[in-house]
Amino acid sequence: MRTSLLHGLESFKISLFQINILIVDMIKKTLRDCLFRLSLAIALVGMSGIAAAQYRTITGKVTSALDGEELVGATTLSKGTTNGVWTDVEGNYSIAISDEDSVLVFSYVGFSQMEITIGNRTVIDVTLFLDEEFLEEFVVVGYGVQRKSDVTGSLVSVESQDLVKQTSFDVIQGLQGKVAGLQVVNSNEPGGIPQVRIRGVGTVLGGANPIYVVDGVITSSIVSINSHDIESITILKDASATSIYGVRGANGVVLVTTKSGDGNSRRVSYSGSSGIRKAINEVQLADSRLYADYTNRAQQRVGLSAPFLDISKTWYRDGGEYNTNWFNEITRDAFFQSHNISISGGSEKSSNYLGLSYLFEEGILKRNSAERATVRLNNKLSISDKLRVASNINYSFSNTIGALASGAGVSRNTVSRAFSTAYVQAPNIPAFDSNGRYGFSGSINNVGNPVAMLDFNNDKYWNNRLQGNFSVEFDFLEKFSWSTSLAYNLDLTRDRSYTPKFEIDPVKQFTEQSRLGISRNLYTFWNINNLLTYENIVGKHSISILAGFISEETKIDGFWASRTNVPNIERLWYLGVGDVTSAENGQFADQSTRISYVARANYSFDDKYLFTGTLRNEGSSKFPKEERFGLFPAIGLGWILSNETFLYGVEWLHNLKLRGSWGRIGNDQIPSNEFALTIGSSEELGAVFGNSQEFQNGAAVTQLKDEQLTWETVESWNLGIDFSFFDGVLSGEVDYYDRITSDVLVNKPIGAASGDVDLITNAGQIRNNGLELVLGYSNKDRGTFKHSLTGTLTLNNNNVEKLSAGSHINGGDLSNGRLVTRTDEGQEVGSFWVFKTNGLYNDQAEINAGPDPNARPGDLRRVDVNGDGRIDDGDRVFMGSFSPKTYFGFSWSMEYKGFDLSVDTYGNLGNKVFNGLKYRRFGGENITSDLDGFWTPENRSTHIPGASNDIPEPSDFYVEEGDFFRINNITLGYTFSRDATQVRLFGRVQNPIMWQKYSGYTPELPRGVLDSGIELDIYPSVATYTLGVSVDFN
Amino acid sequence: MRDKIARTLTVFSFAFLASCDGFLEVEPQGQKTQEDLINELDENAPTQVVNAIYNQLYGWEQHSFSWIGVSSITSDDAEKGSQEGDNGTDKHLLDNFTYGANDLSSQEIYVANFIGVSRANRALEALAKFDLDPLKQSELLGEARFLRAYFYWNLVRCFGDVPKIDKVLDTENNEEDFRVAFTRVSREEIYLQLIIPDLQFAIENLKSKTELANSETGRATRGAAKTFLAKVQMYRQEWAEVDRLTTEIIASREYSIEGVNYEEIWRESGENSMESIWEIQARGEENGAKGILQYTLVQGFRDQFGWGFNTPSQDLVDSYEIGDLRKDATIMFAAAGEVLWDGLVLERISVDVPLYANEKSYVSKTHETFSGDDTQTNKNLRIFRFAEVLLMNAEASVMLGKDGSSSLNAVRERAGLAPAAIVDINTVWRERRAELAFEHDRFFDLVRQGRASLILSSLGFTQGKNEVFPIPQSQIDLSEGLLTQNAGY
Repeated sequence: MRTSLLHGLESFKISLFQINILIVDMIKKTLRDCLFRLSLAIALVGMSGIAAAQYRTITGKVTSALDGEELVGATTLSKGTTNGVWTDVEGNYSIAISDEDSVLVFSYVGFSQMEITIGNRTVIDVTLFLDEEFLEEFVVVGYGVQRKSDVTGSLVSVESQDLVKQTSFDVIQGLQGKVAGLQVVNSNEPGGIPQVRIRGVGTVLGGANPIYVVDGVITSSIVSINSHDIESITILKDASATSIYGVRGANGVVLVTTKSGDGNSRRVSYSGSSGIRKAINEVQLADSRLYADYTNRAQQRVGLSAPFLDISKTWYRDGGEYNTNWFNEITRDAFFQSHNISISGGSEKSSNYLGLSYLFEEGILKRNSAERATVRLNNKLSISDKLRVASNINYSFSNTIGALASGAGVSRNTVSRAFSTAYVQAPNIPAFDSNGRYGFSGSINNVGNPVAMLDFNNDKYWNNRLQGNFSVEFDFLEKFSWSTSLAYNLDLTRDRSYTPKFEIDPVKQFTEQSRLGISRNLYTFWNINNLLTYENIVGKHSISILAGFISEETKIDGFWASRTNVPNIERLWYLGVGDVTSAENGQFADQSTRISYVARANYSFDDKYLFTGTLRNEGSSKFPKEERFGLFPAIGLGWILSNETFLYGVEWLHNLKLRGSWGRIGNDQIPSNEFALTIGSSEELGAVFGNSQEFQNGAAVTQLKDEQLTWETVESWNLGIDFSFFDGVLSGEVDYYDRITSDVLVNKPIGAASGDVDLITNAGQIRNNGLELVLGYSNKDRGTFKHSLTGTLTLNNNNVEKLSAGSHINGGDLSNGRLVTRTDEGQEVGSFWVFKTNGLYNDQAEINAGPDPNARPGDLRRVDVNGDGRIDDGDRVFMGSFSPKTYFGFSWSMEYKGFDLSVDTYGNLGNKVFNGLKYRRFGGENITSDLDGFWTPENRSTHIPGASNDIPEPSDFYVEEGDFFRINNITLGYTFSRDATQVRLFGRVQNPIMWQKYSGYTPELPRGVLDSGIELDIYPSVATYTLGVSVDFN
Repeated sequence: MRDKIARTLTVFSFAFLASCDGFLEVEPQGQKTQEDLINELDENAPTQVVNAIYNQLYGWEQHSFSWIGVSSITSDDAEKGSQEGDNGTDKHLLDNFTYGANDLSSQEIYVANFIGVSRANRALEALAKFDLDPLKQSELLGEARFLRAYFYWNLVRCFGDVPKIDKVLDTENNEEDFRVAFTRVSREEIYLQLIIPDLQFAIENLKSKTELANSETGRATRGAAKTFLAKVQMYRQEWAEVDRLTTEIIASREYSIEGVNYEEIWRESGENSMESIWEIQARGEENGAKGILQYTLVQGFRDQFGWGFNTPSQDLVDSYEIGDLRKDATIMFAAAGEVLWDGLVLERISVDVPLYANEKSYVSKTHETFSGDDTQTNKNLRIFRFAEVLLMNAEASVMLGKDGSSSLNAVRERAGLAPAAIVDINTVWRERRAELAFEHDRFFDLVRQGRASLILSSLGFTQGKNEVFPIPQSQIDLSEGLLTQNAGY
């Protein structure tokens, strides 16, 4: 009977539960997660009322760890049963449980679920902590935080765990392939900064980088920030998201938020890794025999005698026979290590975070390395419930050997020039001959010994950077908050370059005397943000308003000096040791200021209709008075369709949102005072007079300026859909964007009779439009095996829409006066501009009949495209550019019983590469081995031009496809825990395999927008193999 | 309380607004503006403005590789040089007259000389604003106009008709200025309205060589302006003027070739000699070398100390009379292993390096001032020498039916040659070639004489075309159809 009664009761409960589930399912479609949990609670309460009579009662209060306030409507559930209640308006609950029930589960929307063993207590008070997963629903936006569902613009947020996957100086490298619309071009140099482009290149004058905003402070680089200190990164892409950054938002904005301590918890973490770096995709160069054959043929072709009598015996002057692989001589397997410690903690009123890191990385090139140490201290303190203060301070120290810093934080690897020398030095020359002397090539070519080049290079730079900000936030009225923050950034870079007196070769590789050069570059920046916010919810109307006033100043002060005759002992490498008569020095400075007024209104109705309006009025000292202030407005609209009643019944639909935005943003990334005529340096403008030939200073305006200069304006449109299906198992985003940059700043060529060759002015229009697609699959709520798959795809079309007449801009210097890119109307920015060829000339008769009288048999047959009977620049054609038409990435990750595995990939399609390596050959230099089988009078059935010492013309023969696909990262980890300690061991390979169409070292060739995609002396691709451990003590 | 704080913060913030106009007014840091220059108290400022025009003469585009190509490699005196395949961008095209409007050298010459013109115009404009002693002012104006004439003379010799620019233009904002910058006027108009008045002004206002302080050698002088005007009038075949001017210079007795060893003229010891009329001064000192960028290096002997461009042709080598001292002074006999005056032994290693090299561009690293950096050497560029005044005088005499033999024979005598048996136009022209080889004169001289086609056609010269170089296509592209091309290009 009892059994049957129980059975009956059970059936009743089950059916009730089923009804409840039905109700829940219905409601779920109308409300988001929080309401679902609420409704579940309502149902459970009803249920518990029936069950209560048979069990004992536990009472208590549920409060929030965030502010100590009572949580109203929190769920209390007896674990393993359907028995549950929710808290009342004071946060109190009362639950009746049976004797078998031993654990209570507390949950509240936005907070982590907590399980408590009951024991024999009858009163249990609980404090719940914020749920990180729920936090993901919020994103950092310009000057604030916004619910992700309320966002109308195009932005992507990346969390900390994804940022520490790659060991690199600059965290952005780890985002390659993970964010649609974000193109990251790897730097393989130690300490190198990757090149970042958001939605294509919309400018010409070099300022194509996005801005970085670290904890609210605008900066140009985040290479000094340890990736382990970063909580999240948000990439802002369209005008609705970026126009709040006004005259600097045009290239996109990367928001970086650093970590802070969690209230009431203490946490110590260590993470360390170390490993090796190896060159991949090495290019095969000719051996001594092929080299000698080619060199002989090149001489014989113009009627000269062959330098090598027997190509199988290419003796060096010491009598030895060598077959030097110069690339191997200058490279190595490089070592790196990384250590990170973080300590965080806090109380109800304060939180603190301390992060320490050390990173050391050798280059695969000998004598090239970088190291960096950072300290971060983030503190927050609530002085009262209305007044809060916070500070973030980061100090980093770094040094790089084999490179010099030039400009603002951009490294210039000087030793990497050894690569271009190694590519062309003859293989029959030894690195060291039998007497231990450096080998040298003598008259056979004009190339130095790259090993000696490295050995005598002592370039190094040091950087000290302090970034800090302090803020006060005051809720001076209900729903109103005022904040003032002051940020300061100090960046000191020191360069040192020392070359001893040496002689490898008396003609081309020697120094007359030793020389020491130094420079010091001090960069300072401050800004003050004053922001007023108002937030309110009235019924179904939710509104927030931001208004602010911002002022800032940037100063640069640098000097350099050099002296000769400094001994080759490092401790003597100071100016005072050198000859005072040889002293040279100089100083430069720059200063710019900005003032901005910002305003933003977010409004949403019923969680269905969203509106964002943004306005920034910004004045920049970089422009003349009349052109100084600009207005940058933007509007974003959103419609959450999945919250509409007419979609309630669609069970598989979890989220569906349409977004649209329009706005204007600016770009002022040019040097200061480009509108003011200035007098050039008196030393550079002087002349020599007198019988004793004394130098007299000169003064002149050497550069014409546009006195009506203004910033570039980007008009940006965005249309997007966000969707997720099956409770979030499948999700994705599709965005179409159109960005038109007008008033493009260019170095516009002008008629020489006006007194200059070019001037910086606003002339032209560039358009980038494209499609971004993100698709994700995740099974994360199903058992112990969790895995997810994400793919991103970006299609971008770049086009110069307008340029003033004749103002095509040439770039891509190949030396010897050869330029290989031209930016012109109807073409991509930095397009390759080369001669079209049509096979080879086989004999003199063919040449005589053609338009190119200076050609020789075996030469590429250049096509007379314009039909004027001669070959010159008028015959050059455009052949695409460095900009990929498509780039994409796939990431897969899984977790199973403590194991985690992830694979990230990246690829791009549709870009072109100019093989400068193959192109740039002077007399007697080595060739790539794929030129074996070159044209000879006996071997005419080939497409490879005949051996030649001529400096070639840039032609389509050297333009190759840049398509590639690469495994970026495979990481395997195992985590185990004991008490409160969690240990993860991991192994990782970065960039182990790269499939590329290009025959050179790497198709990833970042440089200025007019010079990208040309392989001359690039650092080759590097693969990294890592082992590491991370430990968390909670 | 609450209100008070809010108000304080607001005031704090708006305090910035009040000063924002001034806050955004940031003057260039560490760089003088034009106003600074005019207003500053530095008494040297007016001179510095003129010095900056002289500065243009050191430019790579102005006087180095491209100039060597356009003025010398084109002639029958010189070959491209260097080695097979190393064409210095387009020097092989200059050597065989296949260059076009897109090729580099003539573009650089066009641009550099117009920039020189503009620098002179800016200086002339600035000089009018300075509060200056009128004598000093007219002297500086004279130098500026002398230099403007020099740039213009290069332009008309190279391109024929060119735009006439006699003031600072604003082509970006002023349509009339844009039109002027791209509208060619006739060569004769440039001569009559610009070059000749500039030189006449210079003759009237410049100091004579004797008046010029030793510390100012290298500045334009009255004698230099007269020589220059004589040469201009020779190009215009105004023989009476040539005769008058050269006679005046000779009569002034400021210059002489007597006692000046021809071979030594191009050495450091021969700088600013009695014969020198105008040289671009260079210094090779370690602390602050200043010279024409890579002028020496470009022409240095390929196998030992340079790129080896612009080498003497066999035709030139064969053209000297027996016993002419100038042959060995002009030409390095590399293949013969010549021992140079400073003891350096020439060693020709590469089989395709030319047999000869240009000795007039040579700088000794051991016996002359040498900074250790061969991009800027102490090589003064000799623009006008008294020997040429004598030859111009001889030519004018022949043209006017007078006896020019004394001038001509003075030049021959110094070269170790006997007096000419017959003094006719051909003897004078032949003497000019021997005397002025590798002094950037020969090509223009042949065109002036009307013999370019006769002498250069075997090298590829086309009559009616190659007398002038093409107007750069890049300039035509910028001109919105205003700038026209020379015939044949």
